[in-house]
Amino acid sequence: MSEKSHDTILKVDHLSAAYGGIRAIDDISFYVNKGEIVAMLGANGAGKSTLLKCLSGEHKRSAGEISFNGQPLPGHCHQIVERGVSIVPEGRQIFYKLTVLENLMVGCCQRDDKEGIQKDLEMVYKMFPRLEERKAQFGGLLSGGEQQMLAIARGLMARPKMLMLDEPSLGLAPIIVNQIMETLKSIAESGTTILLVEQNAKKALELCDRAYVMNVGHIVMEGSGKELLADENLMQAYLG
Amino acid sequence: MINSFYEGIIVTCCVNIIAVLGMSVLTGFTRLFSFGNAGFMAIGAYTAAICSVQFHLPFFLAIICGAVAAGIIAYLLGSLTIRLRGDYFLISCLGFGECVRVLFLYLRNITGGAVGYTGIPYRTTWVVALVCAVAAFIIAWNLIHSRFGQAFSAIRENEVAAAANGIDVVKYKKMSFVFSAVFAGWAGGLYAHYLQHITPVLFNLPKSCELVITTVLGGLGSLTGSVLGTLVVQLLPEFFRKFSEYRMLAYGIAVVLVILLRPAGLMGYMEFPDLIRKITKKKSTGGA
Repeated sequence: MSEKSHDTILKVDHLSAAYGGIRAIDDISFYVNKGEIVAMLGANGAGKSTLLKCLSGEHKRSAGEISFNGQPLPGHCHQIVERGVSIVPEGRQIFYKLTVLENLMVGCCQRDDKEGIQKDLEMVYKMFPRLEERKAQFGGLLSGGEQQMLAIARGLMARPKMLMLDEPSLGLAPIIVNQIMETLKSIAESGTTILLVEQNAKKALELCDRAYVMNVGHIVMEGSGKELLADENLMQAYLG
Repeated sequence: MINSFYEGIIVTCCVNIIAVLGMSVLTGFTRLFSFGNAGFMAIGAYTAAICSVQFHLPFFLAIICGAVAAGIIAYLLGSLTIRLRGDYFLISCLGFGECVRVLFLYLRNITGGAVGYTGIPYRTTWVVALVCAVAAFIIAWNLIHSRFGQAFSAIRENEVAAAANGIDVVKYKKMSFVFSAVFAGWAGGLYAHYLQHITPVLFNLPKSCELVITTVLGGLGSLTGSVLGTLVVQLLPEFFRKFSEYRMLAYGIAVVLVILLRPAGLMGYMEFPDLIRKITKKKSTGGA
Protein backbone atom coordinates (compact mmCIF):
# COMPACT_ATOMS: atom_id res chain seq x y z
CA MET A 1 0.00 0.00 0.00
CA SER A 2 1.20 3.52 -0.74
CA GLU A 3 1.20 6.49 1.63
CA LYS A 4 -2.22 7.40 0.25
CA SER A 5 -3.68 4.56 2.26
CA HIS A 6 -3.97 6.73 5.33
CA ASP A 7 -6.65 8.97 3.82
CA THR A 8 -9.90 7.73 5.20
CA ILE A 9 -12.63 7.77 2.54
CA LEU A 10 -15.46 6.22 4.54
CA LYS A 11 -15.91 6.56 8.27
CA VAL A 12 -18.78 5.02 10.17
CA ASP A 13 -19.34 6.01 13.80
CA HIS A 14 -21.60 4.25 16.28
CA LEU A 15 -24.07 3.18 13.62
CA SER A 16 -27.26 1.39 14.68
CA ALA A 17 -30.24 0.22 12.67
CA ALA A 18 -33.35 -1.76 13.43
CA TYR A 19 -36.29 -3.42 11.73
CA GLY A 20 -39.23 -2.47 13.87
CA GLY A 21 -38.09 -3.36 17.37
CA ILE A 22 -35.41 -5.78 16.27
CA ARG A 23 -31.89 -4.39 16.28
CA ALA A 24 -30.03 -5.64 13.23
CA ILE A 25 -26.84 -3.68 13.81
CA ASP A 26 -25.79 -2.12 17.06
CA ASP A 27 -23.20 0.58 17.59
CA ILE A 28 -20.87 -0.25 14.73
CA SER A 29 -17.76 1.81 13.97
CA PHE A 30 -15.26 1.22 11.21
CA TYR A 31 -13.36 3.01 8.46
CA VAL A 32 -12.18 2.40 4.94
CA ASN A 33 -9.06 4.02 3.50
CA LYS A 34 -8.71 5.28 -0.03
CA GLY A 35 -7.71 2.56 -2.49
CA GLU A 36 -8.23 -0.27 -0.02
CA ILE A 37 -10.27 -3.42 -0.34
CA VAL A 38 -12.09 -3.89 2.93
CA ALA A 39 -14.16 -7.01 3.56
CA MET A 40 -17.06 -7.22 5.98
CA LEU A 41 -17.55 -10.83 6.97
CA GLY A 42 -20.02 -12.74 9.05
CA ALA A 43 -22.46 -15.60 9.08
CA ASN A 44 -26.14 -15.38 8.12
CA GLY A 45 -28.00 -12.76 10.10
CA ALA A 46 -24.89 -11.01 11.34
CA GLY A 47 -26.19 -7.72 9.97
CA LYS A 48 -23.87 -7.34 6.99
CA SER A 49 -26.55 -6.63 4.45
CA THR A 50 -28.33 -4.25 6.80
CA LEU A 51 -25.09 -2.36 7.20
CA LEU A 52 -24.76 -2.05 3.44
CA LYS A 53 -28.37 -0.99 3.12
CA CYS A 54 -27.73 1.80 5.61
CA LEU A 55 -24.70 2.92 3.63
CA SER A 56 -26.60 2.86 0.34
CA GLY A 57 -29.60 4.76 1.70
CA GLU A 58 -32.03 1.89 1.24
CA HIS A 59 -32.58 1.51 4.98
CA LYS A 60 -32.77 4.37 7.49
CA ARG A 61 -30.30 4.22 10.35
CA SER A 62 -31.60 4.80 13.87
CA ALA A 63 -28.39 6.31 15.22
CA GLY A 64 -24.81 7.09 14.27
CA GLU A 65 -22.81 9.03 11.73
CA ILE A 66 -21.55 8.08 8.28
CA SER A 67 -19.06 10.35 6.58
CA PHE A 68 -17.71 9.95 3.09
CA ASN A 69 -14.74 11.99 1.88
CA GLY A 70 -15.01 14.10 5.01
CA GLN A 71 -18.68 15.01 4.54
CA PRO A 72 -21.77 13.39 6.01
CA LEU A 73 -23.33 10.92 3.57
CA PRO A 74 -26.79 12.04 2.32
CA GLY A 75 -29.88 9.98 2.97
CA HIS A 76 -31.25 9.09 -0.48
CA CYS A 77 -29.84 6.47 -2.83
CA HIS A 78 -29.53 8.79 -5.80
CA GLN A 79 -27.71 11.47 -3.77
CA ILE A 80 -25.29 8.85 -2.51
CA VAL A 81 -24.50 7.73 -6.06
CA GLU A 82 -23.99 11.39 -6.94
CA ARG A 83 -21.29 11.59 -4.27
CA GLY A 84 -19.40 8.74 -5.88
CA VAL A 85 -20.56 5.62 -4.06
CA SER A 86 -21.86 2.80 -6.27
CA ILE A 87 -23.70 -0.19 -4.94
CA VAL A 88 -23.75 -3.64 -6.49
CA PRO A 89 -26.80 -5.00 -4.72
CA GLU A 90 -27.32 -8.47 -3.33
CA GLY A 91 -28.74 -10.94 -5.83
CA ARG A 92 -27.38 -8.88 -8.74
CA GLN A 93 -30.68 -7.13 -9.49
CA ILE A 94 -30.25 -6.95 -13.23
CA PHE A 95 -32.90 -5.20 -15.33
CA TYR A 96 -34.20 -8.30 -17.09
CA LYS A 97 -36.08 -6.69 -19.95
CA LEU A 98 -33.35 -4.20 -20.79
CA THR A 99 -30.44 -5.14 -22.99
CA VAL A 100 -26.95 -5.50 -21.55
CA LEU A 101 -25.99 -2.16 -23.06
CA GLU A 102 -29.10 -0.48 -21.63
CA ASN A 103 -28.31 -1.95 -18.24
CA LEU A 104 -24.89 -0.35 -18.42
CA MET A 105 -26.33 2.97 -19.55
CA VAL A 106 -28.61 3.06 -16.50
CA GLY A 107 -25.42 2.81 -14.46
CA CYS A 108 -24.19 6.12 -15.82
CA CYS A 109 -27.57 7.87 -15.79
CA GLN A 110 -26.19 10.77 -13.77
CA ARG A 111 -23.31 11.48 -16.13
CA ASP A 112 -23.30 13.83 -19.08
CA ASP A 113 -19.82 13.39 -20.55
CA LYS A 114 -20.40 11.32 -23.67
CA GLU A 115 -16.72 10.68 -24.35
CA GLY A 116 -16.04 9.61 -20.80
CA ILE A 117 -19.02 7.25 -20.91
CA GLN A 118 -17.75 5.73 -24.17
CA LYS A 119 -14.31 5.29 -22.64
CA ASP A 120 -15.70 3.60 -19.54
CA LEU A 121 -17.87 1.39 -21.70
CA GLU A 122 -14.78 0.17 -23.54
CA MET A 123 -13.08 -0.29 -20.18
CA VAL A 124 -15.80 -2.56 -18.78
CA TYR A 125 -16.05 -4.47 -22.07
CA LYS A 126 -12.32 -5.10 -21.83
CA MET A 127 -12.78 -6.27 -18.26
CA PHE A 128 -15.72 -8.53 -19.16
CA PRO A 129 -15.52 -9.50 -22.86
CA ARG A 130 -18.66 -11.64 -22.43
CA LEU A 131 -20.70 -8.50 -21.93
CA GLU A 132 -19.61 -7.04 -25.24
CA GLU A 133 -20.51 -10.27 -27.02
CA ARG A 134 -23.98 -10.11 -25.50
CA LYS A 135 -24.58 -6.38 -25.43
CA ALA A 136 -27.78 -6.55 -27.51
CA GLN A 137 -29.34 -9.36 -25.44
CA PHE A 138 -31.82 -8.92 -22.63
CA GLY A 139 -30.11 -8.92 -19.23
CA GLY A 140 -32.45 -11.68 -18.06
CA LEU A 141 -30.98 -14.10 -20.59
CA LEU A 142 -27.48 -13.98 -19.08
CA SER A 143 -26.15 -16.74 -16.85
CA GLY A 144 -25.70 -16.10 -13.14
CA GLY A 145 -22.01 -15.34 -13.48
CA GLU A 146 -22.57 -13.02 -16.42
CA GLN A 147 -25.29 -11.22 -14.50
CA GLN A 148 -22.90 -10.64 -11.63
CA MET A 149 -20.35 -9.28 -14.09
CA LEU A 150 -23.02 -7.02 -15.53
CA ALA A 151 -23.98 -5.80 -12.05
CA ILE A 152 -20.36 -4.92 -11.29
CA ALA A 153 -19.87 -3.30 -14.68
CA ARG A 154 -23.08 -1.30 -14.21
CA GLY A 155 -21.79 -0.07 -10.86
CA LEU A 156 -18.49 0.97 -12.46
CA MET A 157 -20.26 2.95 -15.18
CA ALA A 158 -21.03 5.64 -12.62
CA ARG A 159 -17.24 6.04 -12.27
CA PRO A 160 -17.46 5.72 -8.48
CA LYS A 161 -14.87 6.63 -5.90
CA MET A 162 -16.01 3.66 -3.89
CA LEU A 163 -17.74 0.47 -4.95
CA MET A 164 -19.77 -1.48 -2.41
CA LEU A 165 -20.63 -5.08 -3.22
CA ASP A 166 -23.14 -7.24 -1.41
CA GLU A 167 -22.25 -10.93 -1.68
CA PRO A 168 -20.96 -11.01 -5.24
CA SER A 169 -20.05 -14.70 -4.91
CA LEU A 170 -23.57 -15.79 -3.98
CA GLY A 171 -24.73 -18.80 -5.97
CA LEU A 172 -21.81 -18.82 -8.40
CA ALA A 173 -19.47 -21.61 -9.44
CA PRO A 174 -16.04 -21.47 -7.74
CA ILE A 175 -14.25 -20.77 -10.99
CA ILE A 176 -16.48 -17.74 -11.65
CA VAL A 177 -15.98 -16.56 -8.08
CA ASN A 178 -12.20 -16.61 -8.62
CA GLN A 179 -12.62 -14.65 -11.81
CA ILE A 180 -14.74 -12.04 -10.09
CA MET A 181 -12.34 -11.71 -7.20
CA GLU A 182 -9.50 -11.16 -9.67
CA THR A 183 -11.51 -8.43 -11.34
CA LEU A 184 -12.19 -6.73 -8.02
CA LYS A 185 -8.47 -6.70 -7.38
CA SER A 186 -7.77 -4.97 -10.68
CA ILE A 187 -10.58 -2.48 -10.01
CA ALA A 188 -8.96 -1.61 -6.70
CA GLU A 189 -5.57 -1.30 -8.34
CA SER A 190 -6.97 1.25 -10.74
CA GLY A 191 -7.86 3.43 -7.75
CA THR A 192 -11.45 2.56 -6.81
CA THR A 193 -11.95 1.78 -3.15
CA ILE A 194 -13.90 -1.42 -2.50
CA LEU A 195 -16.09 -2.41 0.39
CA LEU A 196 -16.98 -6.06 0.05
CA VAL A 197 -19.66 -7.75 2.09
CA GLU A 198 -19.20 -11.50 1.89
CA GLN A 199 -20.10 -14.83 3.38
CA ASN A 200 -17.39 -16.61 1.45
CA ALA A 201 -14.79 -15.70 4.08
CA LYS A 202 -11.80 -17.49 2.67
CA LYS A 203 -12.01 -15.94 -0.76
CA ALA A 204 -12.69 -12.49 0.66
CA LEU A 205 -9.79 -12.69 3.12
CA GLU A 206 -7.39 -13.73 0.38
CA LEU A 207 -8.40 -10.69 -1.60
CA CYS A 208 -8.79 -7.91 0.93
CA ASP A 209 -6.33 -5.59 2.63
CA ARG A 210 -8.30 -5.46 5.86
CA ALA A 211 -11.40 -7.18 7.13
CA TYR A 212 -13.99 -6.85 9.85
CA VAL A 213 -15.92 -9.76 11.29
CA MET A 214 -19.51 -9.20 12.34
CA ASN A 215 -21.64 -11.28 14.64
CA VAL A 216 -25.25 -10.57 15.67
CA GLY A 217 -25.00 -6.87 14.92
CA HIS A 218 -21.56 -6.17 16.37
CA ILE A 219 -18.07 -6.02 14.98
CA VAL A 220 -16.22 -8.70 16.91
CA MET A 221 -12.85 -8.67 15.18
CA GLU A 222 -10.75 -6.72 12.77
CA GLY A 223 -7.39 -7.18 11.17
CA SER A 224 -5.54 -7.62 7.92
CA GLY A 225 -6.69 -10.33 5.58
CA LYS A 226 -3.64 -12.46 6.27
CA GLU A 227 -3.95 -12.21 10.04
CA LEU A 228 -7.55 -13.28 10.03
CA LEU A 229 -6.91 -16.04 7.54
CA ALA A 230 -4.29 -17.49 9.87
CA ASP A 231 -6.60 -17.39 12.87
CA GLU A 232 -8.25 -20.80 12.96
CA ASN A 233 -10.37 -20.08 16.02
CA LEU A 234 -11.99 -17.21 14.24
CA MET A 235 -12.87 -19.27 11.22
CA GLN A 236 -14.41 -21.91 13.47
CA ALA A 237 -16.26 -19.54 15.74
CA TYR A 238 -17.82 -17.09 13.33
CA LEU A 239 -17.39 -18.04 9.74
CA GLY A 240 -17.42 -21.80 9.47
CA MET B 1 -64.23 14.07 -48.72
CA ILE B 2 -64.95 11.76 -45.86
CA ASN B 3 -68.34 11.02 -44.40
CA SER B 4 -69.26 11.67 -40.81
CA PHE B 5 -69.32 7.99 -39.89
CA TYR B 6 -65.68 7.50 -40.86
CA GLU B 7 -64.74 10.87 -39.42
CA GLY B 8 -66.22 9.74 -36.10
CA ILE B 9 -64.19 6.55 -36.16
CA ILE B 10 -60.95 8.35 -37.02
CA VAL B 11 -61.44 11.03 -34.35
CA THR B 12 -62.35 8.48 -31.67
CA CYS B 13 -59.34 6.34 -32.57
CA CYS B 14 -56.95 9.28 -32.55
CA VAL B 15 -58.26 10.67 -29.27
CA ASN B 16 -57.94 7.26 -27.65
CA ILE B 17 -54.49 6.76 -29.12
CA ILE B 18 -53.32 9.93 -27.37
CA ALA B 19 -54.80 8.86 -24.03
CA VAL B 20 -53.45 5.32 -24.39
CA LEU B 21 -49.96 6.56 -25.29
CA GLY B 22 -49.93 8.42 -21.99
CA MET B 23 -51.13 5.26 -20.27
CA SER B 24 -48.44 3.28 -22.08
CA VAL B 25 -45.67 5.48 -20.72
CA LEU B 26 -47.14 5.17 -17.23
CA THR B 27 -48.05 1.48 -17.21
CA GLY B 28 -46.01 -0.09 -19.97
CA PHE B 29 -42.75 1.69 -19.22
CA THR B 30 -42.92 2.69 -15.57
CA ARG B 31 -45.17 -0.13 -14.31
CA LEU B 32 -47.61 2.13 -12.49
CA PHE B 33 -51.21 1.12 -12.93
CA SER B 34 -53.75 3.93 -12.86
CA PHE B 35 -57.47 3.38 -13.02
CA GLY B 36 -58.10 7.10 -12.87
CA ASN B 37 -56.90 8.44 -16.18
CA ALA B 38 -60.46 9.04 -17.38
CA GLY B 39 -60.51 11.57 -14.54
CA PHE B 40 -57.63 13.42 -16.17
CA MET B 41 -59.44 13.21 -19.50
CA ALA B 42 -62.47 14.78 -17.82
CA ILE B 43 -60.36 17.59 -16.36
CA GLY B 44 -58.82 18.23 -19.78
CA ALA B 45 -62.18 18.09 -21.54
CA TYR B 46 -64.03 20.41 -19.15
CA THR B 47 -61.14 22.88 -18.83
CA ALA B 48 -60.73 23.09 -22.59
CA ALA B 49 -64.49 23.41 -23.08
CA ILE B 50 -64.83 26.17 -20.48
CA CYS B 51 -61.82 28.01 -21.93
CA SER B 52 -63.43 27.86 -25.36
CA VAL B 53 -66.97 28.80 -24.36
CA GLN B 54 -66.56 31.19 -21.39
CA PHE B 55 -63.25 32.82 -22.24
CA HIS B 56 -63.36 32.53 -26.04
CA LEU B 57 -59.79 31.29 -26.21
CA PRO B 58 -58.58 30.00 -29.56
CA PHE B 59 -58.89 26.25 -30.03
CA PHE B 60 -55.25 25.28 -29.60
CA LEU B 61 -54.88 27.46 -26.47
CA ALA B 62 -57.95 25.84 -24.96
CA ILE B 63 -56.46 22.39 -25.60
CA ILE B 64 -53.18 23.44 -24.01
CA CYS B 65 -55.06 24.80 -20.97
CA GLY B 66 -56.87 21.48 -20.63
CA ALA B 67 -53.66 19.46 -20.84
CA VAL B 68 -51.83 21.76 -18.42
CA ALA B 69 -54.72 21.65 -15.92
CA ALA B 70 -54.65 17.84 -15.98
CA GLY B 71 -50.88 17.94 -15.52
CA ILE B 72 -51.06 20.27 -12.53
CA ILE B 73 -53.69 18.14 -10.81
CA ALA B 74 -51.59 15.03 -11.52
CA TYR B 75 -48.54 16.71 -10.02
CA LEU B 76 -50.45 17.56 -6.84
CA LEU B 77 -52.04 14.10 -6.61
CA GLY B 78 -48.74 12.43 -7.44
CA SER B 79 -46.96 14.32 -4.67
CA LEU B 80 -49.38 12.69 -2.25
CA THR B 81 -49.74 9.20 -3.70
CA ILE B 82 -46.72 8.30 -5.84
CA ARG B 83 -44.87 6.75 -2.90
CA LEU B 84 -47.68 4.21 -2.45
CA ARG B 85 -46.82 0.76 -3.74
CA GLY B 86 -48.53 -1.24 -6.47
CA ASP B 87 -52.18 -1.81 -5.73
CA TYR B 88 -52.39 1.02 -3.20
CA PHE B 89 -51.41 3.51 -5.84
CA LEU B 90 -53.91 1.94 -8.21
CA ILE B 91 -56.73 2.26 -5.68
CA SER B 92 -55.87 5.88 -4.94
CA CYS B 93 -56.10 6.63 -8.67
CA LEU B 94 -59.39 4.79 -8.94
CA GLY B 95 -60.77 6.87 -6.08
CA PHE B 96 -59.49 10.04 -7.69
CA GLY B 97 -61.16 9.26 -11.01
CA GLU B 98 -64.51 8.70 -9.35
CA CYS B 99 -64.12 11.87 -7.26
CA VAL B 100 -63.58 13.93 -10.40
CA ARG B 101 -66.65 12.45 -12.05
CA VAL B 102 -68.88 13.02 -9.03
CA LEU B 103 -67.49 16.52 -8.51
CA PHE B 104 -68.31 17.48 -12.10
CA LEU B 105 -71.75 16.00 -11.58
CA TYR B 106 -72.42 18.22 -8.57
CA LEU B 107 -70.82 21.47 -9.76
CA ARG B 108 -73.97 22.13 -11.77
CA ASN B 109 -73.48 25.84 -12.36
CA ILE B 110 -69.97 25.37 -13.75
CA THR B 111 -70.14 22.05 -15.58
CA GLY B 112 -73.83 21.67 -16.27
CA GLY B 113 -74.05 18.59 -14.04
CA ALA B 114 -75.57 15.42 -15.41
CA VAL B 115 -77.15 17.27 -18.32
CA GLY B 116 -73.68 18.01 -19.56
CA TYR B 117 -71.77 20.98 -20.89
CA THR B 118 -73.05 22.17 -24.24
CA GLY B 119 -72.23 24.72 -26.88
CA ILE B 120 -68.62 23.69 -27.38
CA PRO B 121 -67.50 24.72 -30.86
CA TYR B 122 -66.75 21.93 -33.33
CA ARG B 123 -63.03 22.15 -33.98
CA THR B 124 -61.61 18.63 -33.88
CA THR B 125 -61.87 17.54 -37.48
CA TRP B 126 -60.34 14.25 -38.48
CA VAL B 127 -57.30 16.09 -39.83
CA VAL B 128 -56.72 17.86 -36.50
CA ALA B 129 -57.16 14.60 -34.62
CA LEU B 130 -54.77 12.75 -36.89
CA VAL B 131 -52.12 15.47 -36.67
CA CYS B 132 -52.43 15.47 -32.87
CA ALA B 133 -52.15 11.67 -32.68
CA VAL B 134 -49.01 11.67 -34.83
CA ALA B 135 -47.52 14.51 -32.77
CA ALA B 136 -48.36 12.64 -29.56
CA PHE B 137 -46.67 9.52 -30.88
CA ILE B 138 -43.52 11.43 -31.84
CA ILE B 139 -43.36 13.12 -28.43
CA ALA B 140 -43.85 9.83 -26.58
CA TRP B 141 -41.32 8.05 -28.81
CA ASN B 142 -38.68 10.70 -28.15
CA LEU B 143 -39.39 10.64 -24.43
CA ILE B 144 -39.03 6.86 -24.26
CA HIS B 145 -35.79 6.93 -26.21
CA SER B 146 -34.29 9.64 -24.04
CA ARG B 147 -32.59 9.14 -20.70
CA PHE B 148 -35.97 9.74 -19.05
CA GLY B 149 -37.40 6.74 -20.85
CA GLN B 150 -34.42 4.70 -19.81
CA ALA B 151 -35.00 5.68 -16.19
CA PHE B 152 -38.70 4.72 -16.52
CA SER B 153 -37.80 1.28 -17.89
CA ALA B 154 -35.22 0.76 -15.18
CA ILE B 155 -37.84 1.55 -12.52
CA ARG B 156 -40.24 -0.87 -14.20
CA GLU B 157 -37.70 -3.67 -14.21
CA ASN B 158 -36.33 -3.24 -10.72
CA GLU B 159 -37.03 -0.32 -8.45
CA VAL B 160 -34.35 -1.24 -5.90
CA ALA B 161 -31.64 -1.55 -8.53
CA ALA B 162 -32.79 1.63 -10.24
CA ALA B 163 -32.39 3.53 -6.98
CA ALA B 164 -29.05 1.84 -6.32
CA ASN B 165 -27.82 3.10 -9.68
CA GLY B 166 -28.64 6.67 -8.89
CA ILE B 167 -32.14 7.11 -10.32
CA ASP B 168 -34.38 9.38 -8.27
CA VAL B 169 -37.30 6.95 -8.32
CA VAL B 170 -39.92 9.29 -6.84
CA LYS B 171 -39.06 12.10 -9.23
CA TYR B 172 -39.21 9.92 -12.34
CA LYS B 173 -42.40 8.17 -11.28
CA LYS B 174 -44.07 11.51 -10.74
CA MET B 175 -42.82 12.71 -14.11
CA SER B 176 -44.31 9.66 -15.78
CA PHE B 177 -47.61 10.20 -13.97
CA VAL B 178 -47.80 13.87 -14.98
CA PHE B 179 -46.92 12.94 -18.56
CA SER B 180 -49.77 10.44 -18.76
CA ALA B 181 -52.18 12.98 -17.27
CA VAL B 182 -51.14 15.66 -19.77
CA PHE B 183 -51.79 13.23 -22.61
CA ALA B 184 -55.14 12.26 -21.10
CA GLY B 185 -56.04 15.94 -20.74
CA TRP B 186 -55.00 16.60 -24.33
CA ALA B 187 -57.18 13.73 -25.51
CA GLY B 188 -60.09 14.96 -23.39
CA GLY B 189 -59.86 18.48 -24.80
CA LEU B 190 -59.89 17.18 -28.37
CA TYR B 191 -62.79 14.89 -27.61
CA ALA B 192 -64.84 17.76 -26.15
CA HIS B 193 -64.31 19.80 -29.31
CA TYR B 194 -65.48 16.90 -31.41
CA LEU B 195 -68.58 15.91 -29.43
CA GLN B 196 -69.61 19.53 -28.70
CA HIS B 197 -71.48 18.22 -25.70
CA ILE B 198 -69.80 16.42 -22.80
CA THR B 199 -71.20 14.74 -19.70
CA PRO B 200 -69.36 13.27 -16.70
CA VAL B 201 -70.57 9.77 -17.68
CA LEU B 202 -68.20 9.81 -20.64
CA PHE B 203 -65.29 9.72 -18.22
CA ASN B 204 -66.41 7.03 -15.79
CA LEU B 205 -64.60 4.04 -14.37
CA PRO B 206 -65.25 1.79 -17.40
CA LYS B 207 -63.48 4.41 -19.52
CA SER B 208 -60.44 4.24 -17.22
CA CYS B 209 -60.54 0.44 -17.38
CA GLU B 210 -60.74 0.58 -21.15
CA LEU B 211 -57.55 2.66 -21.27
CA VAL B 212 -55.71 0.16 -19.07
CA ILE B 213 -57.05 -2.86 -20.98
CA THR B 214 -56.05 -1.28 -24.28
CA THR B 215 -52.53 -0.70 -23.01
CA VAL B 216 -52.18 -4.26 -21.73
CA LEU B 217 -53.76 -5.70 -24.84
CA GLY B 218 -51.44 -3.75 -27.14
CA GLY B 219 -48.48 -4.87 -25.11
CA LEU B 220 -46.65 -3.37 -22.17
CA GLY B 221 -43.45 -1.55 -22.99
CA SER B 222 -44.39 -0.90 -26.59
CA LEU B 223 -45.67 2.38 -28.06
CA THR B 224 -46.50 0.90 -31.45
CA GLY B 225 -48.28 -1.87 -29.56
CA SER B 226 -50.40 0.73 -27.79
CA VAL B 227 -51.43 2.24 -31.12
CA LEU B 228 -52.26 -1.20 -32.47
CA GLY B 229 -54.17 -2.06 -29.30
CA THR B 230 -56.23 1.11 -29.57
CA LEU B 231 -57.10 0.38 -33.18
CA VAL B 232 -58.21 -3.14 -32.23
CA VAL B 233 -60.26 -2.04 -29.25
CA GLN B 234 -61.89 0.85 -31.09
CA LEU B 235 -62.43 -0.76 -34.48
CA LEU B 236 -63.46 -4.27 -33.46
CA PRO B 237 -66.86 -3.18 -32.11
CA GLU B 238 -67.37 -1.17 -35.34
CA PHE B 239 -66.71 -4.21 -37.52
CA PHE B 240 -69.16 -6.23 -35.49
CA ARG B 241 -71.75 -3.45 -35.40
CA LYS B 242 -74.09 -5.55 -37.58
CA PHE B 243 -74.36 -8.10 -34.83
CA SER B 244 -75.46 -5.32 -32.45
CA GLU B 245 -75.86 -7.02 -29.06
CA TYR B 246 -73.32 -9.72 -29.78
CA ARG B 247 -70.46 -7.40 -30.66
CA MET B 248 -69.51 -6.92 -27.03
CA LEU B 249 -69.32 -10.69 -26.78
CA ALA B 250 -66.85 -10.76 -29.67
CA TYR B 251 -64.88 -7.99 -27.97
CA GLY B 252 -64.75 -9.98 -24.73
CA ILE B 253 -63.66 -13.13 -26.54
CA ALA B 254 -60.95 -11.19 -28.37
CA VAL B 255 -59.58 -9.85 -25.10
CA VAL B 256 -59.52 -13.32 -23.54
CA LEU B 257 -57.86 -14.81 -26.63
CA VAL B 258 -55.08 -12.22 -26.60
CA ILE B 259 -54.46 -12.81 -22.91
CA LEU B 260 -54.29 -16.57 -23.46
CA LEU B 261 -52.27 -16.60 -26.67
CA ARG B 262 -50.04 -13.59 -26.17
CA PRO B 263 -49.75 -12.94 -22.44
CA ALA B 264 -47.36 -10.03 -22.95
CA GLY B 265 -49.92 -8.31 -25.19
CA LEU B 266 -49.92 -8.03 -28.96
CA MET B 267 -46.50 -6.38 -29.02
CA GLY B 268 -45.06 -6.88 -25.54
CA TYR B 269 -41.66 -5.20 -25.11
CA MET B 270 -41.28 -4.94 -28.85
CA GLU B 271 -41.70 -2.01 -31.23
CA PHE B 272 -42.95 -2.45 -34.77
CA PRO B 273 -39.47 -2.31 -36.39
CA ASP B 274 -38.27 -5.03 -33.96
CA LEU B 275 -41.19 -7.21 -35.01
CA ILE B 276 -40.34 -6.85 -38.69
CA ARG B 277 -36.69 -7.61 -37.95
CA LYS B 278 -37.74 -10.70 -36.01
CA ILE B 279 -40.01 -11.96 -38.80
CA THR B 280 -37.45 -11.43 -41.56
CA LYS B 281 -34.78 -13.08 -39.44
CA LYS B 282 -37.01 -16.08 -38.87
CA LYS B 283 -37.70 -16.34 -42.58
CA SER B 284 -34.04 -16.16 -43.56
CA THR B 285 -32.98 -18.77 -41.00
CA GLY B 286 -35.97 -20.94 -41.97
CA GLY B 287 -34.96 -20.81 -45.65
CA ALA B 288 -31.33 -21.65 -45.02
